[in-house]
Amino acid sequence: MEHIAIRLKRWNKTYRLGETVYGVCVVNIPKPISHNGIRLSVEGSVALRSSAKNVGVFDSLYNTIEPLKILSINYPLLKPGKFPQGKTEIPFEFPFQPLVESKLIETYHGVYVNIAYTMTIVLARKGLSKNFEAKEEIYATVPPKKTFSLVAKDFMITPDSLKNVSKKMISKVPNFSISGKIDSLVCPISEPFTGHIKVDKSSSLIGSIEVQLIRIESCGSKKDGFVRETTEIQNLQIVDGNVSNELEIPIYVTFPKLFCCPSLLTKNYRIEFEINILVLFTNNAVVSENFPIQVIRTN
Amino acid sequence: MSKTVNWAPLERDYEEEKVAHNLIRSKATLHPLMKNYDQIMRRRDKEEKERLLKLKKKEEETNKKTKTKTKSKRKKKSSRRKKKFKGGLSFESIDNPLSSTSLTDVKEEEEDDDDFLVIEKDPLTSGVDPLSIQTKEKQNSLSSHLNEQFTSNFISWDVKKKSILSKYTMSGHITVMEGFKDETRDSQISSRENESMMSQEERTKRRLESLSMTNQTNEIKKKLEMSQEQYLKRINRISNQLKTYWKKGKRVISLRLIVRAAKDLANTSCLPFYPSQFALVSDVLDMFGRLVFERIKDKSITIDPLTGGTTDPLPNDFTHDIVPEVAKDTCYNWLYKILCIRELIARIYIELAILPIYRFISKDMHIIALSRISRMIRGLADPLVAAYCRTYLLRKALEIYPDLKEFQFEALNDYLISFQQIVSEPYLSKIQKYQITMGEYMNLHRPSIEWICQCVAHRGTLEEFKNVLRKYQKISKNSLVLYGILGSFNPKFIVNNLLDLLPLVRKSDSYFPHYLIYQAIGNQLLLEKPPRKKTMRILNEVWKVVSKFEKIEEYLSVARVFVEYTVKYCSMKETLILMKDIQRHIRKLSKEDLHKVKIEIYTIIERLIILSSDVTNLLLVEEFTKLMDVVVIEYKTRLAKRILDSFSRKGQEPTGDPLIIHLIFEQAKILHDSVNILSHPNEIRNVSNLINNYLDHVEFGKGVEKHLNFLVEARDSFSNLDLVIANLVIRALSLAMKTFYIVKKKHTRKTGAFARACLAYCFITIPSIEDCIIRLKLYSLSGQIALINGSHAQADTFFREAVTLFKEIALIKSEMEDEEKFESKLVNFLQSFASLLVIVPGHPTYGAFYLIKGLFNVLKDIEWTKNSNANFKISMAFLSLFSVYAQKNFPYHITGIESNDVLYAGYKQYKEELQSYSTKLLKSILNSIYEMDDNTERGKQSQANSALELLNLILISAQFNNQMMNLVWKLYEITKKSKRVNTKYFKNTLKSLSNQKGEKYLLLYRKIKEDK
Repeated sequence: MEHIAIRLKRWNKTYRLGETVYGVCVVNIPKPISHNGIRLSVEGSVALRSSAKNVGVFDSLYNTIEPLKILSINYPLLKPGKFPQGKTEIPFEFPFQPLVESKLIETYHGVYVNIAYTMTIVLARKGLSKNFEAKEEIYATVPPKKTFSLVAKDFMITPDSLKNVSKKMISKVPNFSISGKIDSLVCPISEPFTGHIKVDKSSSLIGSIEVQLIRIESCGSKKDGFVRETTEIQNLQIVDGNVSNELEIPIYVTFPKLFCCPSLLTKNYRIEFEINILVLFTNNAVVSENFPIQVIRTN
Repeated sequence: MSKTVNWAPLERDYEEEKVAHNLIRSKATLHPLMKNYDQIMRRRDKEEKERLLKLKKKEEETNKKTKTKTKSKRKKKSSRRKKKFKGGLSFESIDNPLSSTSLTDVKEEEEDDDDFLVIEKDPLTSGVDPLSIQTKEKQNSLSSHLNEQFTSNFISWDVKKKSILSKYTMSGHITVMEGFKDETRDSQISSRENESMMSQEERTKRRLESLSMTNQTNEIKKKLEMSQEQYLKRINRISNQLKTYWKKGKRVISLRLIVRAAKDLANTSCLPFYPSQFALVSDVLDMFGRLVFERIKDKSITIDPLTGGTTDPLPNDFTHDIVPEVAKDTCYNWLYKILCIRELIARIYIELAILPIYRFISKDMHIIALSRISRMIRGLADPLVAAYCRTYLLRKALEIYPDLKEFQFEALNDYLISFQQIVSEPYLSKIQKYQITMGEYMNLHRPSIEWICQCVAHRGTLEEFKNVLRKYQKISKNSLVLYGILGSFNPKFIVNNLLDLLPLVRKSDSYFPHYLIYQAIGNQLLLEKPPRKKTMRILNEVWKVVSKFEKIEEYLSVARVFVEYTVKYCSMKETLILMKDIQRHIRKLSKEDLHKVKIEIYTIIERLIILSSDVTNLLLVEEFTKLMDVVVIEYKTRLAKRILDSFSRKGQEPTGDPLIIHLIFEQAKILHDSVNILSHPNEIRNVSNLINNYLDHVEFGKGVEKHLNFLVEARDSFSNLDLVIANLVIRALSLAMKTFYIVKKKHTRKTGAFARACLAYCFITIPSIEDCIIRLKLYSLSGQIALINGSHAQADTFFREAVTLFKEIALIKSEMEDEEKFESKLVNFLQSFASLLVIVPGHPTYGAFYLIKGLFNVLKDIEWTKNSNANFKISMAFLSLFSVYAQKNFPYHITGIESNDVLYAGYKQYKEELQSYSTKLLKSILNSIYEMDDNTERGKQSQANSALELLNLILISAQFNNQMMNLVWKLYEITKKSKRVNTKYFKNTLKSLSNQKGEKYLLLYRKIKEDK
C-alpha cells in the first residue's frame, strides 16, 4: 500500500502559465507515526542528450548535457509532528510559475529532448526509517502568442517531380501521376492533419500509400554543430491496394500526444516535424514526397 | 344389513313428469359458442363502462350537492354497482385471449409471414428460417425504437448474418498470419513492466524497439493454413481472450487483439468464405465496441478527488453536456489510440466499432466521423473488402442516424466506381486463381450489396429512386447493383417504371445472374399491382428473355414467381400458357436434371394450389395434372397434403363430380400409403383428418348407391387408418339415414334393401378397426340405425356383436396402458348402452332380457380395479333400466318398433323376472356402498355421494314403503358421514323430496329436517 499519494484537483493535470495548482496530499498509514515534516517540490527542466549514434557509446555516457532548469518550487507543506492512524489529507496549492528569466515550455517527451515538470512530496521520517515519497508529473501547455493563418498546399507527384533518382533507376520508375491537396502546412496540434490524395494514373500496380509523420530533434550549439535525430512517430496507411483512380482519398493524421509538441526553435535545441507521403508499388519501388510542417498550439 | 330389500318399482307417468319438470324456456341470448359472442360481450362491456362513467359523473355531481348523510347510502349503491362492473371486467380478461382482436393479430402475423415468403424468393433454398424472421419481428416490436424506424420488410442484420453464415462456407483453407500467441505473451510481459515504475527514456526506448520489432515480425510471421472450423475456433478464441483480458483491465492487449481481428478482413486468401469471415469478425468488433462504450459510461461515475464521493451513473438517454471531463478524456484517448493504428482496414473497422462513444463527446461528431470514414474506405482497393467495409459503416450509421441517407448514397456510388477495378489486375487474376466464375464472385458481393441497397432504399422517395437510377446509368452497368436497387426500393416505384427498367436489365453486364434480377422484379410485382394496361406487356417483355434461359433452374425460379403473377393479375388463359411453357421446358430434361429441379417444380405447383381459390378447377386443367406427374415421389405426399387441404378447406362446397373425386382420391391414396406403423402418431392423425375431411366433402346427392360404392372403394384404399375407417362407417350410416329421410321414413322394398346394404357394409367394416372402444361404440350406433331402419335382425346382430366384443375386451383390459381410464370408458359405454336397451325389444325365443343376461354373465367375471366404483355405476344404470322396464309406457320409442312395454305388457313372468333382477341389483349396489373404504376422507366422500345417488334413484323410481323408508334413512346417515358430500345435489334432493306427494315422503322430509 502506498503510504503517501498526490491527488490533483484537475483531472488532466495540465496547467498553463500562472494558473494555480490545487490538490491534496493523502497520507495513509496503518499505525500512528511522528515525522520531521512534509516538503513539496516541483522541478521543471529541459534535458538534452546527444545521440549515441553520433557521438559514440562512451561519449554519450558522459556527454549528457546538464539539464536546464526552468521551474523550481520548494516549500514545506507541514511542520514536524505526528500522524494518527489512517487517512489524513493535507491540501496544497501553488502557482504554476517558471523561474525568473525562464520561459514556460510545453511538456514533451522525446528521445533526445525531454521537457518535464515533476512534483514530489517527501514525508521525512525520524531516525533511520525510510522517507515516504510521492511523485506526480504535471503537464504544461503554452498558449500561442501570435495568431497563425493556415497555409494550404496542392501537390502533384510525377516521375518528373522526383529528386535524387539516379539516372540508372529512372527507367525503372513507373509512369504515374498522383495529385492531392494538403489543407494546411501550419497545423494546430489538437487538430488532425488533413488533406486528400488522388491517383490519376499509374502504369504499375500500387500496393499501398502511406502517410508518415516525422519528428526531427536536433540539439547542440552553433559552435559544436547540431546533432540531428529523426524519428517516425506516426505511419498511417491510407490506401491499401491498387486503388480506383477516380476517387479522392482523405488524408487524416492525428498528432499523437506526448510524442508531439508545437514546433520549437531555440538556440540549443529544435523540434521540427515533417510529413512524408510514400507510394509503394507492388514492384518494390517507393516514391516519397516530403512536406515540412509547422505544428502549433492553438487555444 | 344383509336383510334383502325388495325393489318395488314405482309406476310413473312420463308425460305428466315431462310437464311437471318442464323448465321455463327462455331464448339463449348469450353463449360463448355463439358466433358473435365477442362482439356482444365487447358491446356490453362498453355499455357497462359508459353507464358507469355516467353514473360516476352523476354521483360526483350529486355528491357535490348532497350532504354527508346521503353520501354514505349512495356509496353503498355505487360500490354494489362497482362490484357488478368488476365482474364484467374479469370476464373480459378471461375472454380477451380469444377475442377477435387477438385473432386479427394472429392473422396479421400470418400475413407478414406470407409477405416474407414473397420477399425471400425461395424459402427452401435461401437458408433464412422464417421462424427467425418472426422472432426478429418480435424483437423489433419489443424495441419500440427500431419498430418505428423500420418497416416490416427491412431485413435486420441478425437475420442477414445467419443467412450469410449458412450460405458462405468453404472447403479449402484460409491462410492466416499467425504468431499470435507469442505476441500476447510478449505484450503481457511488457504490460507488466509498464506497471512498474519505468523511466521515461526506458519507455520510449521500448516503444522504439517494439516498433522495429513489429516491422520485423511482419516478415517473419508464419503462414498458417486453416480450415473453416479452425478459423471459427480462432475467432472464438480471439473474442474469448478479448473478454478475459478486458476483465483483467488489460486494455492494450485487448486493443491489439481487436486490431488483429480487424486486420483479418484484409485477408481474402479464401474468397468463398469472405462474407462469413466478415460476419464473424464484425460480431467481435461489435462486442469490442460495446465494451469500450460501457467502460466510458462507467468512467462517467466520477470520484471526486477531494471528497471521494461518487456521482450517479449516466441515464440511458444522456447527452454529451452532462458527461464529466474524465470520461471525455478517456474517449479522446481511445480515439487517439485507434487513429494511430497503421493499417487502414483495422483503423476503419475499429473506429466504426467504437463509433457510439462519440456520443460522450459531442452531439454530431458522429456524422463528421462517419463521412470521413466513408471516404477513407475508398482507400481500400479490393472491391470485395471495401463493399463489406461499407456494409459495416452503414450498419453503424443506421444504429445512430437511421434517417440519414448521405452515407448510403455515397457508399453505393463509391462501390460502383471502385467496382471498375474488378476487371483490372490484380483482382482478375485473383479470381482466376481461385477458379471461381465471375458469377460466383459476384455472389460473394451479394449480401453486402443487398444490405447497402436496402439501406439506400429504406423509406426512399421516388426522387431518390430516380437519382440513384440516373447515377447508376451514368457510371456502370453492374448487374448486381441493379438487382439490389430493383429488389429493395418501394415496389410502387419499380412497378410503375418497369417498362423503362427492363431494357436496363438487358443491357447490364452478365457478371451477376440475370434470373435473380427477374425474380426480384417478379417479387416486387407481386407486392404492387401493375397498371392494368401494362400487365400483359410486362409479362411479354420479361418472358421474351426468360424463356430463352438455358439453365432450367434459372428458368424455373423465375417461372415460379411469374406463375403467381399470372394468377394474380392475368386471366386463366395466361396461366395456362405459362404452365404449358414450363411443361415444354421440363419435357426436354433428362431424369437427372429433373431430379435437380424437383424442389422448384414442387414449389411452383404448391404456390398454384395455395393461390387458387378452388383447387378442383386446377385439377381439371390438363397442364396442371401434367405438371403434377413430373413431381418426384418424395414430394408427392407433400403435394397430396396440400391438395387435400385446399380441397376440404373451410367454405368449400361438397362435390359430386366423379372426375374431381377420382383425382383427389388418388392424392388421398398417396397420402394414405405414405404412413405406416412407424409413423408418428401425430402424423397419422394429421393424415387421417385430411382424408376424413375429403370424405366429408364428397356428396353424390341422390346417387346414394354411387356413394356406397365410393365408400367401398375408399375402404379398400384407406384400410390402414383407423380414424378413416371409423369415419367410413359413420358415412355409411348417415347414407342409410339419408335414404330413410328421402323416402320420408317409410322404406320401400328397394330402399330398405339399400339401407340394409349400408348396414352390412358397416358390419363388415367395423371389425377392421383397431381401436376396440371405437368398435364398441360403432356397433351400438349401427344397431340403433338398424332399428330405425326397421332391420331387427341386423340390429340384433350388432348388439350381440357389441356384447361379445365387450366380453373380449373386458377380459384383456388389464393389458391396457392406462387401465383406469380404459375402465371408465367401458363403464361409460355400458351406461349409454343401458339407456339404449330401453327400446331394444326382447328376443322372441331367448326372452326379454337375453342381451342383459349375456352382459351380466360377462360382468360376473370382470375384476375391476381397486377403488373404482365401476360395479356401483353399472348396477345403478341397470337398476334404472329395470325401473323403466316396469313401466306401462316407456319414456321413448322408435316409431315402428315395438319395445318391451308393448311386447310384454301384463306378462307375469316378465314382471317376476324384473323383480328378481331389480332386487339382486339393489343388493349388489348396497353391498358396494357398504364395502367402500370409509377410512379416508376421500373414501368417505365417494361413499356419501354414491349413497346420495342411490337415495335419489329410490325416491324417483321405487315404491316408498316402510322398508324403503328405512333404507333411505340409512343412506341418509351414510351421506351425513362425509362433510365433503355434494351439497348442492343434497339440497336439491331434499327439495324434490318436499315436493313429492305422499305421507311417507313428508314424514321422511320432516325427520331429516329435524335431524338437521
